[in-house]
Amino acid sequence: MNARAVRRWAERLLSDRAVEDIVDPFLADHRVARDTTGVPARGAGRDALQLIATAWMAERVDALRAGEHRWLVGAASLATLLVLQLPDRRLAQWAYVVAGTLTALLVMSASAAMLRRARRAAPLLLLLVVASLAGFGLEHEGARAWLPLGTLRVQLGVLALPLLVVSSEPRRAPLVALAFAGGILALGDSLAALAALACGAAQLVFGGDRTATALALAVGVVAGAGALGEPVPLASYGGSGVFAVLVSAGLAGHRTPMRGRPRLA
Amino acid sequence: MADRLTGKERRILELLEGLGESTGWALVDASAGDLKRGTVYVTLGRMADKGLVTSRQEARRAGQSGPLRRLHRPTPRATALLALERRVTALMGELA
Repeated sequence: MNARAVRRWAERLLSDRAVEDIVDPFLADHRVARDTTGVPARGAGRDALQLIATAWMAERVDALRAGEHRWLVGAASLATLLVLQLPDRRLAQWAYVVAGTLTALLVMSASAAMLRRARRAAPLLLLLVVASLAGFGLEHEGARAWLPLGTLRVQLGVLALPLLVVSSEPRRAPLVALAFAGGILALGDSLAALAALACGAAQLVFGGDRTATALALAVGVVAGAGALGEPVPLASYGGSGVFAVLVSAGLAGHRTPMRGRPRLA
Repeated sequence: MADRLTGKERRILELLEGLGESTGWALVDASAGDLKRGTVYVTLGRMADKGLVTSRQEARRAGQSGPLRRLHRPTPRATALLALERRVTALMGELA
């Protein structure tokens, strides 16, 4: 078992208190046991994995009880209702709801440092999304919006929308959203473009507030799907919109601010 | 405040009764498979929040680095709760 790797992952996924009270004592006990017997404890890697998973679940349950997941609970309930409305519900729709909820839970517990890194990488990742769709996207009804991934076809522009919520730096974020909307609109994905514009507008008005941007994203996706004549907004988009809204709800409920380190005067 | 003990909490308190002060690792070793290393530390954290155990870090020795072991002991309240549960179980056994 690599103790440093275990601690690094614990720091990424758990609160500081859980790392100090739960993971550190385990690592200390493991070290003493190894030093005493001269060999690493059997199954220690599996134990560490189980420990982090159990602590993560316990923290999520605590957060749920404390009402910290209200955005995610709301978004997951809405997504479930939307999928239930579908006349021909498919397993894929539910898979997007489950995957979106799990991703949102992971995002909620990610460290602020991890999200800061994601924020820095967001413009490049969004550019990659546009380039991937331009190069390898499948054209359907005049829009090059779908990317084939094995047997799956994902609406990549919509899936990438949560990156706009991560990219919450007040001055640069609206420009990033506008550039992404322009690029994706040129490929014909008007739904993703409309939602991106809504995010950009919210960032401009609310100074990069994550909750406002996530709400704008949800409104943009639902309104966009409705305006484009979809009978059941969101769900008819193969679940990509559902996934994006759920992950954005997770970002809105993140426990620590992501505005970066305060500048020194 | 805990009103009832869960099965794991009861087992940990029973073991702590015998061991006195103990680490999570030692509790697992003494439990004959009832407790797992992957969960006992989380349970001990919960028990500390409920006021069932108190814990202290061992003192750092010269030249020692890295995280320190944490030693747990039952609180008087937990001991009283365990004794009460035992009395209730015994009473139920007599009535049955």
